[in-house]
Amino acid sequence: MSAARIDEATLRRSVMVASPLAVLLAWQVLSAARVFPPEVLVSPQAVLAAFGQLTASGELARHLGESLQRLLWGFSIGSGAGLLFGLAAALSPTFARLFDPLFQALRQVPVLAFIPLLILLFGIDEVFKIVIIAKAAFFPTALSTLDGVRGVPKAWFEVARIYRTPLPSLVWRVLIPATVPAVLSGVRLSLTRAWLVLVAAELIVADSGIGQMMEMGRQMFRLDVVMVGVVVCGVIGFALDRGFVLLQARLLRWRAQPAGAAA
Amino acid sequence: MSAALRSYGAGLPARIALGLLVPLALILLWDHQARHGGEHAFAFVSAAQVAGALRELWQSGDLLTAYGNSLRNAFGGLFWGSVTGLAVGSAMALLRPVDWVLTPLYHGLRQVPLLGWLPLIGLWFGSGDLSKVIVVSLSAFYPAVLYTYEGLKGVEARMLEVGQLYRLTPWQTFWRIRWPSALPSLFTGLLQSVAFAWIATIGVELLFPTGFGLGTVMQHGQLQARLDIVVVCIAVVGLTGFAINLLVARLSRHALRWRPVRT
Amino acid sequence: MSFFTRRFGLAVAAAFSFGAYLALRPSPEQPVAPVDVPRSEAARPAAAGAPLTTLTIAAISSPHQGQQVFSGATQIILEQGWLEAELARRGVALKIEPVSPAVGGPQINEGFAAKRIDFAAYGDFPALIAKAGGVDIRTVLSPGQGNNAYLVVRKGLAAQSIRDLKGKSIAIHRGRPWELTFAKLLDANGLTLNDFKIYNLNPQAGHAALAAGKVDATFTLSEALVTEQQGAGRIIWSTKDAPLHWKMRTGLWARHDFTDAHPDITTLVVAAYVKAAHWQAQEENRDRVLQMASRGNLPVDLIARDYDDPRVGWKDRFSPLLDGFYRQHFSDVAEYIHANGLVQKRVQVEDIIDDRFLAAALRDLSAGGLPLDGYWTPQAEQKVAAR
Repeated sequence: MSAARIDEATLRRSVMVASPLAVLLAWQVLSAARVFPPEVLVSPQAVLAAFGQLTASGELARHLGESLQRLLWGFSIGSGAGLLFGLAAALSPTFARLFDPLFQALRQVPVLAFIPLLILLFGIDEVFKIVIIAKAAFFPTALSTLDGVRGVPKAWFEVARIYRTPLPSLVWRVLIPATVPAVLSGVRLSLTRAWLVLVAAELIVADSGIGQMMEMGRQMFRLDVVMVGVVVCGVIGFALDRGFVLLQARLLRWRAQPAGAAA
Repeated sequence: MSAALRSYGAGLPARIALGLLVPLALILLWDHQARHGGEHAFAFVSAAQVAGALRELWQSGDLLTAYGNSLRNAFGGLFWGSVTGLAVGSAMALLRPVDWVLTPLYHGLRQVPLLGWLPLIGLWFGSGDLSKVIVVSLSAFYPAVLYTYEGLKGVEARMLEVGQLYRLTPWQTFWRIRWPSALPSLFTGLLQSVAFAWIATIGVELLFPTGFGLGTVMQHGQLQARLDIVVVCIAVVGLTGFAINLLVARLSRHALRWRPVRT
Repeated sequence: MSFFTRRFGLAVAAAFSFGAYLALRPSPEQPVAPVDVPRSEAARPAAAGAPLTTLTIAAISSPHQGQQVFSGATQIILEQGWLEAELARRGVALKIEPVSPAVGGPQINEGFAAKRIDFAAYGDFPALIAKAGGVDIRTVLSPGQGNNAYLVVRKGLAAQSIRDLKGKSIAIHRGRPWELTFAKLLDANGLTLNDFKIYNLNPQAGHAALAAGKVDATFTLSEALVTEQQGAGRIIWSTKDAPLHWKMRTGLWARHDFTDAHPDITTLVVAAYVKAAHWQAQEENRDRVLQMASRGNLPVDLIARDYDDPRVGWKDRFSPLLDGFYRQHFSDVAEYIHANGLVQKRVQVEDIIDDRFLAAALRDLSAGGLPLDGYWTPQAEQKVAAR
């Protein structure tokens, strides 16, 4: 039984490694067989060469460093604000009613449309880019916090009322343990959104960053550089997401006992 | 789910009035800036100008045509994206080999911003309607896969055990146990898909010029530095997003009313 | 619950059927250019002998009263209908592929690379970048005598020339054609990019930044006139103050394998552009030309201001000739993009200008009765001190 399970785990891991490799191989075969002209489908070697070039010149590292720094700031500010907003909206019906329509409407407008206005308010330096990322990170966290807190079974609040549980311990002993999973999944979504929007925002306005590298690649008809950007974006985003999932597992393990105790 | 929209006591008119308070205050502030020569007067537009632009767009028929085209694109993309997302997500949740093969690809690909794909999509599929539908579908596809997968995977083990006890066929297990318990998650996914499809529609119209949608009008307004037109478009986009959201939230509340949650 | 779930499943199915109907329903007729679904197959056979069924011209488009209108001569060609009729006689359909003014260059390059388009009228920079990247395109006609670029400073700044802006911030969209003009301006004044704080912003963002006072100056095309009209800035320099060859130039670019395989059709297309140029060049059509141009980004009065350059007569604005000036300009562009590391391969100017079809078209049209013999003459430089 246990041997079979180990085998399955190994199989699973090897399949998960093999499938991207298979895609890579298919890409290589397609481009080597010249099914499409090289201007249309860049070969993996060309992408690798461009990658080597960008790494050797330090250009990639510089762009990536800038992007990650922006991500850190924008994500922290945005998801922090989202957490507070979600909590306030969940706990105070008046607050929710005041801001809900604005919140829902703003959420639905792509940040691209706001760029002139954002420039007006925040200038064109780093603050501007961080605000764009923060906007993207804000909504998923706010939404899932709201839902997480709202999704707590009614009975728990009734029990808390019967026992006259004070607000701080209601928050600490009941709300947090019950809502952390939902909130964290929202924060995870925020991280992904922040990363996606960061690159997108850099495509439009920036002097550096991985998005700008891709945009210049497009302007300069260097599709190998664009492809390097696509691959790097995917890999970095994947790593960020995986890292967050590991962190999440850790956090939830730590929270497991109080949650049980409170319930 | 946008829980804030659920009613808890207050009459509908009162809630609507509260919700309009903040946007109204912002509009007044904006109008004041525009008319009283504030710091950025020439960069703001007065409410009267916006009303003029709205009238102009309405009378020329541009607004309706553009609106109809944008909605059509959004629904087309949403349909393709969520149907394939539902299928792929279900296959990943129910068939382990599929899960192993697709998981790394899915999680890597969804971290690449759609804007980053634009050069390649433009190269492979042109700048016509097909490219637009592909981008919008992708934006609806990612959340649909994620939430279908998590919903179907997240079935409580004891439910499945009960199913085994009753010797349910795989189909019955799916239809009577997995599907109902995945519904809340599917709805969250649908809500996300709708939101992203709408954002992506406007975003892609800002960047792909074919056809004639709200994003096209907005971009044209930006090029002409006609902020009043841009504001009209932002308002229509935001309100539509708000309305679609409300619709899906209501639908999901109706469908999930058997869940014992606080509201 | 189970009953409800089932009913709900049906509801979802119904909703999706409706979605399917919406998605699969044929799109309503597009007003001007029917956008047929581009085939995903990358290479359309262009080898000699393969029957040509559709000819595709890409053109910058803008929305106008719910329709797509195309920039410059392309719209006139559509309205004249001559090319479409001539092509139809040869069993070829004409398709105009719209591209956006904001990302037109890259989109056209991608279309040329995928052999999805055969002709496109667009700027010097992106075309040479594609050429250096291995896409074999050549310019077969000049769709006009160049676009003006403008230097605008923000409200309240006393600067009178580029030299006064030293150390200040300037917004310019890097990699766009007017970057060369900017480089020439700096060069003539002994300045380099490092003398300024350069922000890479597209024209719309640049306008907003200037209006908000976040940058001191922007360098763009005719959008600058809007900025000035709205009181957000003041134009202190334009290409009207500079030698003629500083203007941004465009070309009617064609895929070389297409022109090789279909020289007759190519001549026909070039002739259509010459006819359109001739129509535009007539003094009595001036108002209509300005009006058509204003369906793009600018109101008529600003178009008129942009067009107004005493050195270039109305007729000559539309001269299709590939003269020495044109060669000089493209040679400069090739040099600039190579010297600045934008491309790795130096493009030879002989490889990008193909004037055979223009000569044939002028001859054919003259023989057909259009008075084109010596109508346009090669441009000559007029003395203007670079400021």
